[in-house]
Amino acid sequence: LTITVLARDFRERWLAESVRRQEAEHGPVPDVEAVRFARGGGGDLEQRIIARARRLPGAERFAAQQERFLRQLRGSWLVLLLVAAVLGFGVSLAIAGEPSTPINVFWAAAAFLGPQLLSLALWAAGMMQSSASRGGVFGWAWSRAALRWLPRGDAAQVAHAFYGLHEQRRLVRWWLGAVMHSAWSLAFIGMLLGLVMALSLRSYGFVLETTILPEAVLRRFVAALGWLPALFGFSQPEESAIRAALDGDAWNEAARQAWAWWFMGLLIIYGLVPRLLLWGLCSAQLARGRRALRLELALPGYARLREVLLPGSDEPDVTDPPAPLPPRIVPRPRRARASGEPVAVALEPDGDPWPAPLPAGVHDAGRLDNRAEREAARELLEARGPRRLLIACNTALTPDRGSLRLIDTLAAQAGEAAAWLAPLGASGSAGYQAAWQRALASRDFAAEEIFTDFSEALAWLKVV
Amino acid sequence: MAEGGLISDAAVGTARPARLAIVGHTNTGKTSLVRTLTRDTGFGHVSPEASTTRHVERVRLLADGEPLVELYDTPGLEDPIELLHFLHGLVSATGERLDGPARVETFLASHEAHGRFEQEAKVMRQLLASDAGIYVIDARDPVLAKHRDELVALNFCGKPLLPVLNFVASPDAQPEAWREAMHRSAIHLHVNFDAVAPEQDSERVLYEKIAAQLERFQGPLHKLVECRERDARLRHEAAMRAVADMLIDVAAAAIEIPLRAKKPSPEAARAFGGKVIERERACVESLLGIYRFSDSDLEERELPIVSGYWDQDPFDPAALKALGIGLSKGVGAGAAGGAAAGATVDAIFGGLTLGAGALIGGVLGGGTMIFKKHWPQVSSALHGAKRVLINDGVLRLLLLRQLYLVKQLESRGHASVTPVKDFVDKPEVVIWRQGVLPATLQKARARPVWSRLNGEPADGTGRRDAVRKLRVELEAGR
Repeated sequence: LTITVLARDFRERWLAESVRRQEAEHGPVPDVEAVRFARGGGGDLEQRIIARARRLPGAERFAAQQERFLRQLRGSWLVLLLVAAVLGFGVSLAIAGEPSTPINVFWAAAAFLGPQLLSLALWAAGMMQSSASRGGVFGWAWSRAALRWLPRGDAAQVAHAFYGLHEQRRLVRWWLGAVMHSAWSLAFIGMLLGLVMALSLRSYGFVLETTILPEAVLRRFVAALGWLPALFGFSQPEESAIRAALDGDAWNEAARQAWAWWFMGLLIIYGLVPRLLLWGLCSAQLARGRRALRLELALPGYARLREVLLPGSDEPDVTDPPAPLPPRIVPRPRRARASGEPVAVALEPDGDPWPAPLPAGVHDAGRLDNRAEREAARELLEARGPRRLLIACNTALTPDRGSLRLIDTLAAQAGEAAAWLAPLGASGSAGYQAAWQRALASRDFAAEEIFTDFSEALAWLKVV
Repeated sequence: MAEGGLISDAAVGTARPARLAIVGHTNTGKTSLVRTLTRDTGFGHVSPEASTTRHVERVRLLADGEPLVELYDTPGLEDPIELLHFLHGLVSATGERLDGPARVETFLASHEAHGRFEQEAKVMRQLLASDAGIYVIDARDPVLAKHRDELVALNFCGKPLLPVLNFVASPDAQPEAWREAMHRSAIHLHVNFDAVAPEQDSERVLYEKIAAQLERFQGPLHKLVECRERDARLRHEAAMRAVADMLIDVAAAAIEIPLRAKKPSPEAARAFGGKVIERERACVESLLGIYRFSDSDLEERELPIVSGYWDQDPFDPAALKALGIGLSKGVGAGAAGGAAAGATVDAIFGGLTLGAGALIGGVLGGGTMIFKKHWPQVSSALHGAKRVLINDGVLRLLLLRQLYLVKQLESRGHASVTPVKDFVDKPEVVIWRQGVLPATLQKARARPVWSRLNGEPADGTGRRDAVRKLRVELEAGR
């Protein structure tokens, strides 16, 4: 029954696999809602992939296709079983033949069990061949047939996914084995029914015939064949029955009974029972394999979903709201009575570029880095009251609030102030010039108070 | 709460995630670092301006859905000199001297913490509430007084600080000066971590160095690293698989042309080439999906897909030349003028004569391999056609392009990591450029049923195994 009856876990993986194939072929399906649902549900990646697949817009369609596929599969299987049973029944009647001719014991045994032996040998060989791990001959035949004749569209995805999942755990051979052995089991049941009917309703005789073999061989053969059924309670034909069959006394009443039971024993023990056992074995292996089945998460279609369904981080959350923005332009105080000689100062220069060669009459207030230097510069400006102040700003650095506040403080001590933007870094990088321009504009520096050319800045500085 | 207290740290338990505050001067790349650590390219705002981030934003790092670390992105410190001056001036209500954290708490309760130091107060408050701070430094900046004061002020919080030297690969970087400055503040661990284009294992180093200072959170931090590295491995595997899948499709792709024809008609060749191009595009899309690159990321990161060479038609001999791939036999002088696709498509067996001859000889000699290999060719010949396959050169080109793309995506697409020119000269890449193609790819040449480009839905065990094998071969070549 494992052939068409599926556990829920397997069905869900089957659905996910169908969806993956669908998306691989036709591109991802819109899945915002499904992803939210899957993330909310928790679990490992596979569980989330399944949850997503079940929640996708087309999921019901796939589920319906699965049902249809299984119905068709079940239907075909039942037809196969029926055909097998009918065939078995017919074969059995054909082998028994007309009651007028006695049944040749060995001939009939070979007819009943020969095909069985051959088919079992083929199956075993198929299972043992090197490519058995890849599904063997059956798997190959199945996949070729499936690929050629399966319908396209959703139905194809579902069917391919069904095959693919089985193939992934090397289960195709067990699946096909179960189908084959179930059919053979039914065929033997049909044969048994046919045999029972023939033997019950008609009168048959049995003979053991040989032309060249010695009698002892025949006896040994009968004994050997009957040994296993005998263990299960099927009686061996007694000496008298064998004698009768050998002598061509086909219609000996006791011997006919004995032979009839011997045949039934052969059919059940060598025919039906092994098939039922193998059917069970295949079903058990299939069920076990399906339980062990996991989605192949390394497939690109699933790997893509890892970060989506199991994100590396959750939604960001503002824990401390931003401070109100400072006013766009802060008016800058100017010193009213400032007539001291012009001063130039450099804010956080790095390396040689400062002091730049300053013309006579311009005082250099030095490089400003630490707080002591800043304080000293402020005090110096306070004492001198320069009429013009040029502040060199290092465009290799980001303008920050501390620097701008310092510029404010210094500029407030001069009649007029301007900024010279220059890369005063060791590397000469001027990455933040535009940022400085915007920052100074917000501090009430007019465009003509911001220089990028040093000689222009010096010219401005010396205007009286 | 105190780290390394008298009680065994393990006994305290780690029911909550480790809290890490990302602090630093303004515009050093704090938000970029959070983006990289979360792989969330949409986190916060990033710009080359100062004070882009003006609030504190929390994001949890998850490993398989379990939150292990909380990152707090904070505003930049902008006026550390005055802040430190203010902190130094603080005394307790009773005029006693204060230790670092008490000083910071007094500061946070002060009027200034809501006035001119509001932004700094947010940083200090968050660092005080965190288990450790990640101090982001723009290594290109000189070490200035404000930076030194910043370190002193942050140290007042009494939390372990792990400096992260950002942009350390830049020629302007001054890592030595920064290290020296950190030692003076009694900070002896640091990491080089380019927030935009980090080295492969720098994330592990970062977390390990944090764990070294936060014994209590060693377990979760280790778990986070393991989870991240496993995910990276799985992503890589899936990506290589997608590449192998595409290559199998293209290698096994074939068109049938009449026996007498020398090469496919231009229309047929164009249609064939179109399918190959479409297949490569699908592969690119699959890779972008695996590495979670959206279209906007592509533009932002300037991946070569959008720049120049990627747009080149793989059938254009110039594209092959650009990657240093020579065209193989069968494509000669006449090729350049021919239909683009026809030029690089050649019949591998040179028509029936060779195919059938080799087949017969092979079968007589008892070699079934040859039979297998030539069977599609012969089966086509039986109904009056021969098969034409994609040229080796095109296969090489597709292979190199996709490997390069994978590499780019893995280094998060930073254009400066490996220029194409250097990439194609790496020994592990030269193999695919000039040496023999992977064995499985050669095998695929004779397996038209493996290709999805041949009209039938290709599947089955043989193909699946081939894709797996080819992935391993590609991996081994690298």
